[in-house]
Order: sequence, then structure tokens, then C-alpha cells
Amino acid sequence: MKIIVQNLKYQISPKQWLTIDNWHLDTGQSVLFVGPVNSGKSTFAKLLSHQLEANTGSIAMDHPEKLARVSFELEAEILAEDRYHDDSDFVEGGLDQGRTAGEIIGSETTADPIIELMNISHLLDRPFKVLSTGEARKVLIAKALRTKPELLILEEPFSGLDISSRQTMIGLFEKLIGMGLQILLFDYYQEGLPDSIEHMVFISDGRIALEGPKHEVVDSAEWKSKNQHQIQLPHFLPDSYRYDHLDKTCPLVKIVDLNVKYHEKPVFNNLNWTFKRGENWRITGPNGCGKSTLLGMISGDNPKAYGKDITLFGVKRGSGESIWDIKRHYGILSSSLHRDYKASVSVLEAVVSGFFDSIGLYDKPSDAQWKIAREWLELLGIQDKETRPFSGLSFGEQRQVLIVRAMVKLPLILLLDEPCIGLDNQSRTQVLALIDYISINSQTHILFVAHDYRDELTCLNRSLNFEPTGDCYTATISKI
Amino acid sequence: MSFFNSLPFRLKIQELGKCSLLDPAEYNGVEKLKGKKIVIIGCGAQGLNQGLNLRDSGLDVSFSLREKAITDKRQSWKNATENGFPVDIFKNLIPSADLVINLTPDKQHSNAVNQVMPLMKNGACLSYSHGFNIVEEGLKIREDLTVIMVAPKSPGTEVREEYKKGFGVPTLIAVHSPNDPKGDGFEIAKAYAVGIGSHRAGVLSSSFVAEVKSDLMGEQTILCGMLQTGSILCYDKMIEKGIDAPYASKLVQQGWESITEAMKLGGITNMMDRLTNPAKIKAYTLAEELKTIMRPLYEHHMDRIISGEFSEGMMKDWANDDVDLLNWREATNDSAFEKSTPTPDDIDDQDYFDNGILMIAFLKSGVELAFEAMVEAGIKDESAYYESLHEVPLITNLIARKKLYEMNRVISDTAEYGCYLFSHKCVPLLQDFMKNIDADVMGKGLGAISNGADNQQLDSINRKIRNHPVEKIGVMLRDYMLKNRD
Repeated sequence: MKIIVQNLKYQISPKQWLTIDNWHLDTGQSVLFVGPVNSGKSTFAKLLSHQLEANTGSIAMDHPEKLARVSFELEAEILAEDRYHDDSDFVEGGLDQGRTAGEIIGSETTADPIIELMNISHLLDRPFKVLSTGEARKVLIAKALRTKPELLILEEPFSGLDISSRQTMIGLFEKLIGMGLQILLFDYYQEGLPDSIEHMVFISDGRIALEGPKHEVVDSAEWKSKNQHQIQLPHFLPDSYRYDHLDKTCPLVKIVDLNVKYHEKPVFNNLNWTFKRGENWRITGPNGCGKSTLLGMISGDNPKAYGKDITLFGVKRGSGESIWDIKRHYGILSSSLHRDYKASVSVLEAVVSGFFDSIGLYDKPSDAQWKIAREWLELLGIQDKETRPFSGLSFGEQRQVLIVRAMVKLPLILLLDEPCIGLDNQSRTQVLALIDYISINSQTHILFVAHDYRDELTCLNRSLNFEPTGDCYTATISKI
Repeated sequence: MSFFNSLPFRLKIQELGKCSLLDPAEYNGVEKLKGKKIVIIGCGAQGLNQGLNLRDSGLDVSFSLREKAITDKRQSWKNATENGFPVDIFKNLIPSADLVINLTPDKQHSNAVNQVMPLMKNGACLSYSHGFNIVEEGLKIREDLTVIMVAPKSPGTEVREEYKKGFGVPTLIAVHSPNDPKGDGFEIAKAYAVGIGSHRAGVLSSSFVAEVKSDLMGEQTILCGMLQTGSILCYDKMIEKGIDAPYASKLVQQGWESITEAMKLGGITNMMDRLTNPAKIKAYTLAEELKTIMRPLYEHHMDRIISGEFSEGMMKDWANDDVDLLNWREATNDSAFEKSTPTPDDIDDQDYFDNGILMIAFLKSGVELAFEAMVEAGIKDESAYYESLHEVPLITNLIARKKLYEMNRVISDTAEYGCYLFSHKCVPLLQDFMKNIDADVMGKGLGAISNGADNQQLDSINRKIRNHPVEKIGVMLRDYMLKNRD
């Protein structure tokens, strides 16, 4: 497929334009598009795939019908459609699983060569909404491939993937390119992007700033000057809650002989884990190993915790405590919280809702709480967005706000499950530095899950790693 | 005889007129139920989700299912066990229960309660979410048992979603006065409402009688009957006037939902304010005409509900294997609207208003008539609001997703039976009215060049819209549901 872009102008916001004077894609060529958040990169992806209409200028391509796109938004759209058609209130048992992966792809046969290529035949009968991040991503790519595209547009395809899924995905892209498919990959710059995509375009401030072979671009002086991260750390942390009611000698979390199953299928067995004061944990393991389930069980979100030997902050789970008694100790950010954060609130209100552990704001915050929330927005340099509606922000901007929401009360445990998904390199570095800073300068303990090699924290001193053993997973605990 | 008909006139009015919003100071958390054994029977959407909320509020919850559901590993069994609840048969769980929550489908109430009642321990509490079984079927509950009602005004999935957000859904609670031996039924009902998160969105203290009579009235008139009638008439009219059939199909099917979304947020006032000035005046005039024509029908339904004739007729059909219900259901399948295929093209949200003036007139007249008929029968404004305006979006959402046949199949049997009764009378009743309807108010829009209107006329209409009692109570209740949100 050939694409010729000429004199393209698109107004992203009242003050911001995307301007592409002249850009060509040759037949057979694959390209990597990089650039920080709000650079106009994803707007360009949307213009190329006809999701948006340019104000002026033209995008000419020889086979526009042979183009397919996979993005976060697509996954969100499918989940929203499933929610809309959810029949839980009318079916026996009160639970509608929604469409299966096979129904989403439009192929229910395992003999389909695309299913075989993607290695997802085991997923076809499973409900789409219960798939792991990596599984869902593969299903969406398979769906796109079924339209027999010449050109595939991918936005942040590696976000949230564990190391092995990431390797599989890269291998798959190499294979698809080898088979003649063109890929336009839109992502933040990082090590280990597919080698077969050699050509790179760096978009910055709504324009193509640099273009050429990948190594030449990253060696250039201009790249270096634009990719230096300036991190500002606070001189003090905003005031916080006290957790003086707790017995200081008690472990924060104590789990004894925990086994978890989903639909009779074991996920992990015999987990014994104690999270003591002074410890900061990193939890690792492949997609689907039960990490998120475990975190949900100690945060009050996953009902599987009942009937199990789990003691949180000195209180045995299921002994008459409410989930709100548990949640007040945590600041939480995970992909599921982000997905569920549907409320008509402003950015500032979203942050303040962290004081009440609510999605949306239903309590009357104090003046002090408003003030503290503002101070946190300033720390991340996003105070200018304070009054904007949360739902109108981009995915990455919403993430930043939800990170602040998790931190705002300086919780006893800051539980961050893949917090940096969707953040550009600058804000990623900033957030990571802030987490370390918080850990040293407050009562807050860190519980951290991240697959990305960029997500290093110095404060982490304990590790819980899930590894496959037989048909389920076992956790190994060690000091870092 | 039904419970209601057995009451002296004095108590009839007292029971019908019971409904008030609880003050936040009246709650005492879930204290009353702490450490008590709660057993839920029925694990559908209400059962499962209320169970999850109650347990997350620190309460002890188990599910009791029929033996067959357990041995066959039915979906209800799977969902309860997968969520870590203890599950067992009636005879193993009920005898130790302090509170038995009956969340089986309405039609199974008599059967379920007859099985459970002999097993319940002395002095325990039995809870309903709908009082048909008590008020209309007249089932007598053992004297030592406390009987309460806790009825969330939202589907089960929403009860859970809102709880997880840290909020709740508005809920109606009541105590069955002949069954309150210890006088603590109200305390139990309040604790239960707090346990599912309802105290945050508003709890109404009402009576079994008021709940049943207002619920029946709402569902058969404005909720299901009016929307069924309107769908058929609006679609047929557009076809008659040469409007593109796929467009007409979508305008009706999706239009109800888009229009009532505006009503849900800001009442009839907001729905009418979405129209241009000339269209608003037109919709208002049509609604006034419709109210004159349909008022006797609404009153007829209200009267038959109060007298108990409606329930008697329906229970005869239950006893006759639902012959009437099933025949009527099939007839719905034969309507032109049901057979139509909606266009895949998008319709702009505003077009649903501009081109659906008659639909707006149906909604306005229907909500107001149902509300007025209830209030005239002695039901309080609060109850009447929830059973009319508040629930319309739930049904329009079903129609948007499933059209009429499926909508009727999934709503309760009482709602479906009443819907057909209403619609079969209302469609012919509006025949003459429909003769004068043209595509300008249904399908094409007024196409007026100017948004101009006579100030005096517009002001008078605006005031009439805003001053209707359903709007006044609506503003108050909606503020409460979204409290602290300026």
C-alpha cells in the first residue's frame, strides 16, 4: 500500500494543530511512529485510518479498504458494547458472560489459518471480557487480520504485556512483515521494538520533527535534546491520613495456604505471604498467573477472598469488616480500576475521590482535601487540567490523574498494578521517581506490578514471583 | 381474599399513602444485622448482586437453592460458589437463618415461601423485594415471623456497580404491619438497605400496599403499555407517510432511549427543553390532547388495580397455563414495527428529538397521567415518581436493545400481562387522533425556518411543564440521588 499525505492540517484543540506538510509511505514499507503524549501521534493514526477527518489537506492511499487498526480504544469499545448488551438481569444465575473471543473475531473455527498463526485456538470459546491483557490484544489483532489487510496500524501494542507475551508479539509482527504485511506501529520510544521496522518517524509538537533509519534518529543531537527528562521532586509531601489505630507489630497483609481457582481450574496453589512494615514488594509473573486476582483479594475488590485465611491490617477477612474498612488503607491504581472509572467528574474531583476510595464523588470533601489534591496535581505538572472533565482526557492523561488519585491520601499501601501503561517516557520517569520519593518520605509502603523493563524502582526490597508449575502457578518469595 | 381487600377503609388509605424519604440521621449502619445469619433464596441478578454487597458490608451471607439447581450445577449454583458463598439446600440453611431474603422471580414467590416458611426458626425475618404475593395473592405468613420489604429501584447489576463505586441505588423499604411481632422490622429493613449501599442514594419508607399498587400501575401503563402502543403507532404512521422504513424503525427503537436519557437527568422539563420553541409548543399541545383522550383508560387501570380485579384476572390466566399471555406475546411478534429492520446509519442525538415530537408527547402525557392517577388514588408523590418517570429509561433501554417482543419476555409476568391489556385498548382508542398526525411531528421534523415563538405562550407552557407535581418531586429526589454534586 502506498500513502501520500500532503498539506495536512487538523485542529486537535483550540491551541494545538497537527501539521504534516508532506509524507510518503512506499509499498511494502513498515514504519515506527514515536513521540511524547499530546504530540499528535495518535491523532495522526486516527487520520490515517479515517477515524478523523482532516481540516485541510489530503491523505491518498491506493487501497484504503485494505487498512486495519488495533488500539486500546477498540478494546474499550468492544467492552462497552458488551456492557450495553449485558443480559445479566434477565438470565438464570444473573451473570451474562458477553461475547466470546471467537464471536469478536468472527471465526469460531480453530482451523482458521489466522487463529493458528496467532496461536489462540484455546481462547475462542472464552468470554472476551475475562481475557488477560495479552490475550485480548492477540484476539483484536486476529480480528483485524481477518479483513485481509495490506496495512495494519497498531497503537501501543505492547502495553501491559509480560516479557514472554511481548516477545511472542514481536515475533508475530516480524512474521507478519515477512509475509508481506505493512505495519505502522505507534508507540513511545523504547528498547526492543521489532527490528524489521527500521524506519522511524518522531512526532513532536504536532509536526514530524525527525524521520529516518531508527539508529540515525536516536543518535541525532535533536533527538537527544528533546528526550531529556527533567524530573522535579517535591520539597515536602502534602499532609496525609494517619493510621494510628493499627497495631504497629501486626503485618499489613498475612496470607496462609491460599489456593485460587477459576471455574474449577486452579490458578495458583499454596501461597503463603506476609507483607510487613518496612517492606516494599514487587510482584511479577506472566499474564494470567493470578497477580491481579491476588491484589484484588487483599484490596477488598475480589470476592474470592471470603472463606480464605487472609488477614489484612490485623483483621481476618470475612470477620465483619466492610470492604470500605479495608480500602481506606490503600491507594489503588490498576487497569481494572481505570476501566471502571466511569463518572462525570472533573480532574480535581477525580483526585479528591481518592480520599473516599470512590469512583465519582459522593461525599463532601473538606477544604483541606481540595487543597491537598491541588498540590498533588502540581507535583505532576497537570494543574492546568484541574477543571477539565476526566472522561474527556486521553488514556495516558487519565492514567496520570488516577496515579495522583491513588497517592493523594498517602495510603499505608500504594498498590500500583501496571501504573505506567499509556504514559510517555517523560511522565513515566517522573511517576517512578515520585513513587520512590514517597516511599522514603512517608509512611507509605509500595506494592508494585509491572512487566516493562523501564519500570524500575529503587525502593523495592521484596519480590513475589509467580512461575508456572504443572497446570498452575507457584509463587517464590525473595529479598531484593 | 387479597390482603388489601381485607383491610378496613381507614387502613387502606393509610397504607396507600405511606411513603417518605429517610433522613440520614435515621440510619444506624448495618449494626442490626451484624453477626446475624442471612440466607438468600434465588441467585439471579438481584440475588447475586445484593448478596455480594451485603457481604462486602461485613455481613454473613449464604445462598440456599433448590436441590435440583445444586445437583445439576445450574448457573445459579455456579455463580454463588464461584463467588465464594456457602451454598446449600433449604433444609440445611433455612433453620439457622435470622433473615431469609426471597429474591426468586415474582411468580415463584408463593411456591418458594410455602417451602421455606415451615423451616424458618421462631422469630426470624422474611424479606421480599416485591409484595404481590402478600398484597394480591394474600399469602399469610406465620405470626412469629417478621416480614419486610427491601426493593432497590434498579436492576441487580446496577445495584452492584453503584455499590462498588462507593454509591448506591434508591431503594424502597417497608414492613408488613401484621407481621412485626417484635416491632423491629423497620430497623432490620434499614440495616439491609444500608448493607446494599442504598442510604447514599435515598431510601423511601413505604408500605407493601403502596409498593404493589403503584408498581402495577406504572408497569402496565407508562412503562410498558404506553411504549408498546407508541412504538406501533409511530412506526405505522411513518410508513403511511412514506418515510424510509429502516429510518423509521431506528427512529422509534433507539429514539425512546435517547429521549428518555434527557428525562432521566432533568425530568420532563429537560426532555421538552431539548426541542426548538415551535416543536416544544407542538409537543405540548399534542400531549394535552393525548391526556384528554387517554385519561379514562389510565383511570380504568388504576381502579382495577386498586379493586384487585386486575390481579384476579391475571391469576386466572396463570392457572390456565398463561394461554392469554402467550397468545398476546406472539401477536406482538406480528406487528410491522417488530418485523422492521433498523438502518445501520447513525442518527444524530438531536434528530431523535426534532423528528420524534409525537414520541415526546406520548412520554409526557403518559408519565403525567400515570403519576396523576396514582396520586389521585392516594399514593404519595414519591412512590408515584419512582413508579412512573424514574423507571422509564430501564424499559426504553430494553426496547433499544431488543424491540417489543423480547422486552415483554424479559420483564415480569405481571408487567407483561398488564402491558398487553393496556396496549390492546390504547391503540384503537387513539385511532382518530392518529388520523390527524402528519410526518412533521413524526419522522421529518417541523422544518420551521425560525425558532421564534410567542413569548406569552412559551412562558405559560414552560411554567406548566415545570410546575407539574411530577417535576417538583423529581427535582427533589434527583438532587438527593446525586447529592453533593453541584
